[in-house]
Amino acid sequence: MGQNSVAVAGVGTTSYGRLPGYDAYDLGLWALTEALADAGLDFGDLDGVIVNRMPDYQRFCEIAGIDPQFVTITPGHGRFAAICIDMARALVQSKRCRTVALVYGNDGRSAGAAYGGADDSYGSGGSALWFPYGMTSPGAFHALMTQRHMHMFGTTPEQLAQVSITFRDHAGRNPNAVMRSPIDLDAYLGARMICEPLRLLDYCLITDGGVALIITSQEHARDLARPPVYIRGSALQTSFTDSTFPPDDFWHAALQSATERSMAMAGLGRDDMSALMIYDNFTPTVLFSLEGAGYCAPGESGPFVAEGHLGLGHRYPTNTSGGHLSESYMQGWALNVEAVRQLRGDCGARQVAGATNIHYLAASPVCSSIVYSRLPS
Amino acid sequence: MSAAATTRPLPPAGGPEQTFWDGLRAGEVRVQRCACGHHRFPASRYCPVCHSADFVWAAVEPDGVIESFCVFHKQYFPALEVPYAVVQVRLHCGVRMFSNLLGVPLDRIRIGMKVTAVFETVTDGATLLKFRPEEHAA
Repeated sequence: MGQNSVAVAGVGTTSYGRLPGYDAYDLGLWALTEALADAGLDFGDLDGVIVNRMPDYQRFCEIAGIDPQFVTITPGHGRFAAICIDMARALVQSKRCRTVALVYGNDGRSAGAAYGGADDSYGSGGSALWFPYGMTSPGAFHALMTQRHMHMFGTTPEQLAQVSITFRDHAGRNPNAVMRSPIDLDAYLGARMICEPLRLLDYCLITDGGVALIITSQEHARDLARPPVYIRGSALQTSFTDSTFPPDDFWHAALQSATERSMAMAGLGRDDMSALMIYDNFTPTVLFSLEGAGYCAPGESGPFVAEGHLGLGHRYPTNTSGGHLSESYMQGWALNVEAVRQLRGDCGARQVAGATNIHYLAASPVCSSIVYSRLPS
Repeated sequence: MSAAATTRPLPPAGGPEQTFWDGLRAGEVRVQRCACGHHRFPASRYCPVCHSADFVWAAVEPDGVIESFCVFHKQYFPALEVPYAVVQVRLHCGVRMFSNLLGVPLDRIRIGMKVTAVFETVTDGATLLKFRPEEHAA
């Protein structure tokens, strides 16, 4: 095929947590500055910019003082991290752009972002129809899915707890994580119910922060400051039909499709993966993702996580940063940066020894799969 | 603002689902039925299956099955006291609804329960589509 390999040449992240005084643009620019320095590039080297979650692309580029040849802006939905990375891969692979910056800025914590109630716009936009019944929030949507998964397969709160406890343990080894105190099963079960069957510790954090990635060609990346990490494969599969309501199959078909195509593009398989980064807006999303991507059979994700496979030192260390549950709520972006840092060996106390390939997965109405590698195709 | 904080959330006024809400006041569950036979809700001008704009608002059988449910403990709407359950119901025509189940304690709600519509008037202008378990023959 002779495909041009595409690489991540730089990554940048801000602090996470409450960062009052920084708006989304500030956080995006902070992260972009870090990413460019990481790559050894200047603002003027960017010919493409993809902005996510910040209010306006023109204002962002004005603040950054740049005039790229390509620009677009995407909504602040977590599914868009992979959409943007997939788009950047295509822009570079087609030589439409040489060097693309992906920039995310989120001041949701300080701005008081809420994910339920009268301002809820989750899903396909019809939320207000259901407010009279008290139905609102992405958490409730996932609670409905979880209840069905429990009914169909016998999934238990104790199994969900393992996801939360494991990611918190990982966060304890990550100095930039917001929630680092260890938790145990009692703490999980004792945490207040939010939307049953989901408890507080099944929910992601809400934090301020920014993330940026610099994407360029293999040829260019090889000349830059840090070892390139290759985007060996990426694929999306939407699941929009009747998506006002939870999917009957827990997004299995869409996850399977995206995984198979991205793995085929990468020339790699699940057995080649050293670690996983799984979009963890809620603990059950991790279970659905493991099933859809084929790491376990449909219905078997509860026992699978209870066996401990997701922990550091085990077969598929997952969300080694602590993820959205314990590190930061950077809507997929920080998990992609964590994949890059693991493959460079930059992760210190949470480093996966010999990490070679890492699989990023997100289960949502846009399912996505990205395969990162230390080695080009 | 304080009035809004204590007023229960009501159906959106005058939206594309107005015929649905009007139907509830008349004791009917009306959803869109396309010329191709596909039922749909929430409302859209065009059918997602055949893309025709040829539809009627049809009164459908007000019975269905509980596909899932969840129990809210966090309060998102000040006028709605927690805990309360939201049920996901699939009507026999294939359309799904989020709603509430009447007459069943929270810990007795089960996936697969057969339910039938209850038209609950909450204000002069608003009737909601709620459900109760189907009567069993004794």
